[in-house]
Amino acid sequence: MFGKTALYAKDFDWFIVLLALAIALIGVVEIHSATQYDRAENFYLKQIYRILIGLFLMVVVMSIDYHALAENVPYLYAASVVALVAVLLFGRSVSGSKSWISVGFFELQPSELVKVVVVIALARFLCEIRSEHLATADILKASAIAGLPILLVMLQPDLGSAMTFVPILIVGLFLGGLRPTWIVGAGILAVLAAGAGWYNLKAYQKERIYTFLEPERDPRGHGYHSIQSKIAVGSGGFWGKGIGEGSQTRLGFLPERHTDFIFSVVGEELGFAGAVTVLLLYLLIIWRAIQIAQTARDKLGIYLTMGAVSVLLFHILENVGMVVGIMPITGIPLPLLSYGGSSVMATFMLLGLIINVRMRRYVN
Amino acid sequence: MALKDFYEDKRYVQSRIAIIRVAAILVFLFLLAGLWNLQVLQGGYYKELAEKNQIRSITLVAPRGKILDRNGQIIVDNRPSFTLSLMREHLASLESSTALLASGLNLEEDFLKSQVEKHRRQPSYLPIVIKEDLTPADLAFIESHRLEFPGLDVIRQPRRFYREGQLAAHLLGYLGEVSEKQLETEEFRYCKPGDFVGKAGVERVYNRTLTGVDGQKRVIVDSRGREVAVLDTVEPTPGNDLRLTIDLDIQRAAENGFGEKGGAAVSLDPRSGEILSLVSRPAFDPNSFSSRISKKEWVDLINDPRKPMQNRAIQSRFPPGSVFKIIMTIAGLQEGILKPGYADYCSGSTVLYGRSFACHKKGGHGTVDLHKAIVNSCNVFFYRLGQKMGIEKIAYWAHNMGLGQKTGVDLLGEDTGIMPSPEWKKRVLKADWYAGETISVAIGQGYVSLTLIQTARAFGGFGTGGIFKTPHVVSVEELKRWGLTPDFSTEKQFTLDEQTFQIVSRGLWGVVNEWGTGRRAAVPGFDVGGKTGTAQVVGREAQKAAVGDKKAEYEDNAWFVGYAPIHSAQIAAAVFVEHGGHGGESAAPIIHDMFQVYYDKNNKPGGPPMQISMK
Repeated sequence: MFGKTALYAKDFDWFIVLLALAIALIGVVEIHSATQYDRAENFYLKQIYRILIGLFLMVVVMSIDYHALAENVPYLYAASVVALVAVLLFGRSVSGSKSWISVGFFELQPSELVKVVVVIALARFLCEIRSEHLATADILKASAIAGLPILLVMLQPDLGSAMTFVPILIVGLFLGGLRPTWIVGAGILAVLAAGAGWYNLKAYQKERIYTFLEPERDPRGHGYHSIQSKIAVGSGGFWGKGIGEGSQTRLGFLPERHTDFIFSVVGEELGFAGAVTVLLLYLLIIWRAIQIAQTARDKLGIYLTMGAVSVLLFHILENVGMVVGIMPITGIPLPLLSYGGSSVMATFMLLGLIINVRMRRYVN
Repeated sequence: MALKDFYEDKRYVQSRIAIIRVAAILVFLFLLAGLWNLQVLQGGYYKELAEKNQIRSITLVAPRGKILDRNGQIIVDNRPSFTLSLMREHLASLESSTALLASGLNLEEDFLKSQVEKHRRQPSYLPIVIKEDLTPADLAFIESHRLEFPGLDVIRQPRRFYREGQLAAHLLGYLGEVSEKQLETEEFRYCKPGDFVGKAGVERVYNRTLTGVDGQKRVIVDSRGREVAVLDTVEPTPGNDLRLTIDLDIQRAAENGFGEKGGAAVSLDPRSGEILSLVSRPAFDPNSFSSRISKKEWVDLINDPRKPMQNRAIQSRFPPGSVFKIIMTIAGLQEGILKPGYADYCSGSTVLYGRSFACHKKGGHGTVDLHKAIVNSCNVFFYRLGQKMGIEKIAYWAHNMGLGQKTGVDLLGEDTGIMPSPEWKKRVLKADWYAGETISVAIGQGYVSLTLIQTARAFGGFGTGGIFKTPHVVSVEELKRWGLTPDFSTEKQFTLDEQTFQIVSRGLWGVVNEWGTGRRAAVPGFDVGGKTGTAQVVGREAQKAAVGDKKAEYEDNAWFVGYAPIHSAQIAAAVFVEHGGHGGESAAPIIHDMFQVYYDKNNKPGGPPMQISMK
C-alpha cells in the first residue's frame, strides 16, 4: 500500500498545504502574542508540536487510499462511538461540559476527531446511492449516521460542537439530491425544532442567545466575551496595532484569547488588512478543495472532499462570526489558528482526506 | 476494493457542487462585511472603548493641613496608612482561602466573609476593603503570600493622626465620611461619596482651609485592574496648615488637672478673645474616627451615659452657683445700689417673701461688707442685694457681659446658656416671674445656667475693664492668611466704673489670696483673682443619705472662674468639675495649673510683676 504512495507523490497538493501552514504560522505568532505575559506555559511551542503531529497525521491519512478508508469506516465509526461514550463516563469537565478525555500524555477532545470519521462514514453511505434524488429511507439512514455522534456530543453537553456535525449531513444530503418537497419540509421542521428546542435549552444556553442579540444587557457576565471581542477587533482598525501590541490582548481583557477567540487577536493586532488576508487564505483552501471535489475520480471522493469543506466552512463561519459579533458565542475553535491539539489534528486530517482524493483523481 | 472502479454516474452530484461554492463565497462575504463594519466603519468608536478599558484614574488623596498650637507645636498630623483591598474579579479566588487570609491578618474568618459580602452589593468600581490601617506584620504577611492571593492590593493613604489622643478632642473634632445630605450642600459640593471631611470641632469649622485638592494618577491597568504603567500624574495639593490660638502646654496642664473627673475648662486671653485652652471631659479619641468607624463603636460612644461626645465647654450649661455673685456685685455697683462702705448683717439665714433662705455658714457671717461678702461668699448678703435690685437689673448687667447669649466662638453647637428675666420666662415658660425667683438667681441658682465659655469671657471682659471680645480658636492674622474674614460681631463693651473695677477685682484677689475659698488657685508672683462656685446636684438631705456609688454621683458640681493679673487681665478662665465637691478644692487647682504655665511662659523673663498691696 505504501509502495503505491510514491506514485502519487507528484500529485501531492503543495498549494493547499502551504496555505494551511501559512495560517498555522500566523496562529503560532498570535498565540505567542496573546500569551506572552503568561509565563506558566509556552503555548506557542506546544502549538508548533501539535502542528507537526497534525502534519504527520495528514500524511498518514493521505497515504491510505481513501477507498480503503471508506471500506474500513465501520470500525472507525464504532471506535468513535466508544470514545464518545467513554468521554461521557470518564471525561473531564471544562466549563460545564464533559468533552475532554486524557489519553496518556495529553488531553483529547474526541468530538473533533470523530468529525473526520463522520465525514468518511457519510461519504461511504451516500456514494453508493445511484438515484438522482435521495429516497426518504436514505435520508433517515444518513441522518442516523450523523445523529448518533451528535446526540452523544449533545449529552456532554456541548451544543456548539454538536452543531458542527450538522453541516456534514446537510451538505452530504444536498449533494446526494434533495427533492424540493424535502427542502421545504426540512425548512418547516427546522422552525418547529427551533421552537421546541428553545424550551429544552439550558439556562446558560438561552442566556448566550439573549446576549448574542444584545451583549450590553450583561456586560460583565455573559455579554463580556462578545463586547470585549468586538472592542478588540474594532479597535484594531484598518492596519491593526501591531503584533504584540494589542492592549485588549496584552492586558487580559479578552478571555480565551489564544483558543476560541484567537481571531480577535488577529483582528486587533493585524487589523482589517490582516484579518481579510487570513480569510482569503481560508477561502483559497476552500476554493481549492471544491476544485478537487469537482475533479474527483468518483462520488466517494466528492463526498469526502465536500464533507471536509463543510466542516471547515462552518467552523470559519461560526468562529469568525462570533468574534465580530454577528454569530452567537459557542465554544468552537477556528481551524489551524486556535490553540488546541484536537482541533489542529482534526483539521490536518481533513486536509489529508482532501489531498488523498486529489492524489488519486486519475482512474488509471 | 469493492468501492473502487464500479460504474457510477457522478453528474448529479458534481452539478450541485457549484451551489456549495456560491454558499462558501456568501459565507466569506458575510464575514468580510462584519469585519468591515467593526474595524473600518466603527473602528474609532471601538478604539475609544479599548482606551477606556485600560485607563483608570486613581485618586491621590491630598493630606489635610496640620493643626498647630499657637507656638507651632503640631497637634494634628497625618501618617501613612495602608489599606488592603481586593479586586472584585478575584472574589472567587479568595473564597477558597479565607481561612488562611483571616489568620494571617488576625481577623475573624466570619468578619472577613461579612466584609466581602457587604461589598458585593456596592458599585463595581469600588474595591472591596478587607482591612484598614495594616500593621507592619500584616504588610509582611501580604508580601510573602502575594501568589496565593493574586487580587489583593495595598493602597497607601494619608490618615489623620491626633498626636495627643484624647487631648483637646472636642476642640479639634474628628473626621468622618461625608454624608449624603452634606453632599447636597454648597459647602461639600467639592466632595465625592466616600471622602473624609471634618465632622466636628476645628476640623469641621475650618474644613475647607484644612482640605487640600486631591490629585489624580492615570494608569494603564490590565483586566484584573493591576497597574501596568503610569500615564500621567497630577500631584495632590496638601491642605493648609492651621495654627490655633491654643497653647498646648496650658491645654495639657488643664487636662491633667481633671484626672478621672468629668467637666470642662476654658481659658482665653481677654484682650483678644484668643482661646488658650478648651477642655471637655470625659473625651474620646478622635483617631478612632480616622478610619471607617464601626456602627457599634459609634453607638457605644453616643449611648455612653457619661456623654463623651458632648463638648461641655460650649455645648453644656450649668448653674453657676456663687460664681454669679460677682455678676451681682458688678450690677449692684454699676446701678449705685452698692457703695463703698455698704454692709449687711448675716445671721445664717433670712426671710424673704415669706420664705426662709439659708446661708451656707450656719452661724452666719455677722457683719458683712462688700469685700467680705465676696471673699466669704455670703449668701444672705446677696439674697438681700437681689431683692433690692430686682431681676430686670440683674439680667440687664448680665446680658451686658454676654451671659445667656452665644459668645460667637468659631466652634459649632454653642449653647446660649440661660440668663433669666421676666421677659425670658414669659417667652419660654409662658409664665409670670415671681419675685422669690430672683432670690435664687442672686446666688446663681434657679433658672440661671451658664456655659463655661461665656463665663470665662465675662470675667475676662471685666478684667480688661469692660471689653468683651468674641472668643475664637484661630487668630485674626491666621484667618486673614487663609483668606477668611473673622466674625467678631458679638463683641460687647460698656464703661465699667473705676470704683466697680477696684472693689470687685480686689474682692476676687481676696478669694484667692486672703485665705478665702479659692486660695488653691494662687500663683506666686501672679495676681490671680477668682470666684468659686458650688452647684448642688441633689438636695442636702439626699446627699447625706447617699452611700457607695451614689455618694460620688450626688457630690456637688464645682466651679472656679478667675483671671490674672487682677489689675489688667491677660488670661481668664472658667473651670467646671462634675461632682467636684467644693469649687475651691477641685476646680481652683486647675485654674492654678493653667495660670502657672501661662505665667511661666509670659512673665518670667521680664521679672515678677508688681505686687498690689490690698491692705
